[in-house]
Amino acid sequence: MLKIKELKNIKKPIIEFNERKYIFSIRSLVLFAIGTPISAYLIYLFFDLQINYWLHEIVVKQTVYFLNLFFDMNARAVYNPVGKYHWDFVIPGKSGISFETFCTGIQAICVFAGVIIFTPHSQDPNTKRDIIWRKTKSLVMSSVIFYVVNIIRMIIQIELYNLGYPWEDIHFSISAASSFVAAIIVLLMHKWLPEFIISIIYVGTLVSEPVKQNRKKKVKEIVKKTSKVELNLIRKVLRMEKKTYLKDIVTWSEEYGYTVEGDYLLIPDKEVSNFIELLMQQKPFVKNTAKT
Amino acid sequence: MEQITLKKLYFWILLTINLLFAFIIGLTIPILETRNSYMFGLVMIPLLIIVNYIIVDRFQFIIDQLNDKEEKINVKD
Repeated sequence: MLKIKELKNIKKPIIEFNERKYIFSIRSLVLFAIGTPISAYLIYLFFDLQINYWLHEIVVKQTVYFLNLFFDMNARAVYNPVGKYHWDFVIPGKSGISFETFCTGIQAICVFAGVIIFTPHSQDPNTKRDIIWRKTKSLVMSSVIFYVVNIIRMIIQIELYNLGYPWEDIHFSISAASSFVAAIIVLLMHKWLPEFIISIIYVGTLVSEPVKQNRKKKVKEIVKKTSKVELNLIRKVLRMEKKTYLKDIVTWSEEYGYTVEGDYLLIPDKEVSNFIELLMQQKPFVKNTAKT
Repeated sequence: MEQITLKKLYFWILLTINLLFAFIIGLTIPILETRNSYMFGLVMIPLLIIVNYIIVDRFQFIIDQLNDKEEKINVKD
């Protein structure tokens, strides 16, 4: 609870991407994390109800149509309203294949629908003004792609089954392979709805901000008392590479008039207040290049 | 003006696809074998209405943007 209060007091970071600014409220980020899985599951449960078996029928009949069109398989869609699921594929000379809600690919559509609906809107008015259009475009395109890819997956699987391959071998492998289409959808979504990826980065930035502030305060206190600070600590403030920092920090310290002695950075007494001022900037030790 | 005509054509195509889809749903429901086949319409038609509204809203947004641009050019002149 305290941490959430701490987060609220922090000055919100602004992420700039493609000439647009992204600032998210903490409430929208929390809602994104909680609302996405819950809504995805609820939408899936809705389509798993018997009243929604029209979806099964449409998917089965379209698949059968293409199987007969491309492979002249003489496949049939059989309706048998007994038990949990009602639709089966029947191929002459082979045992039937029962069809369930997972075979419609609706679970993938539900996950992306949940993500798209709950993706936070930026608080910048210019960025969020066309968000509904971008979200709709992402939702429609991702659903269409998943639907088409799922039908292609079933056509390939049933044709291989018809050719004599064991169902267990082709069913799971091709289903897993076709799920890679999710990566394409994520790329498309990043084009139309960058808020999705940026909000995840934003959470990382937001969570690391109190750690950065505490580190800066710690360095400030140490320098005030002793006029020196551990090199490892200042490396973290300056975000220098662990492998090269010993070399880089010498160059950096010379530029500011500090000296490196052993594992410590020594700051001359007259430079302490200036050091603290530069340290406490939004971006520590970044010189303001603006000319007056 | 030419830009507006092109945009109009683009949105006209979007609305036509939307309407066609609604029409196909209406044609499909009577030939479905599943019980509660009317649910196809009950689920999809409200979604199509929302999409229809969003397309029209987008058209309004584009027209406003183009008008703003034209106004700015006129003020400069």
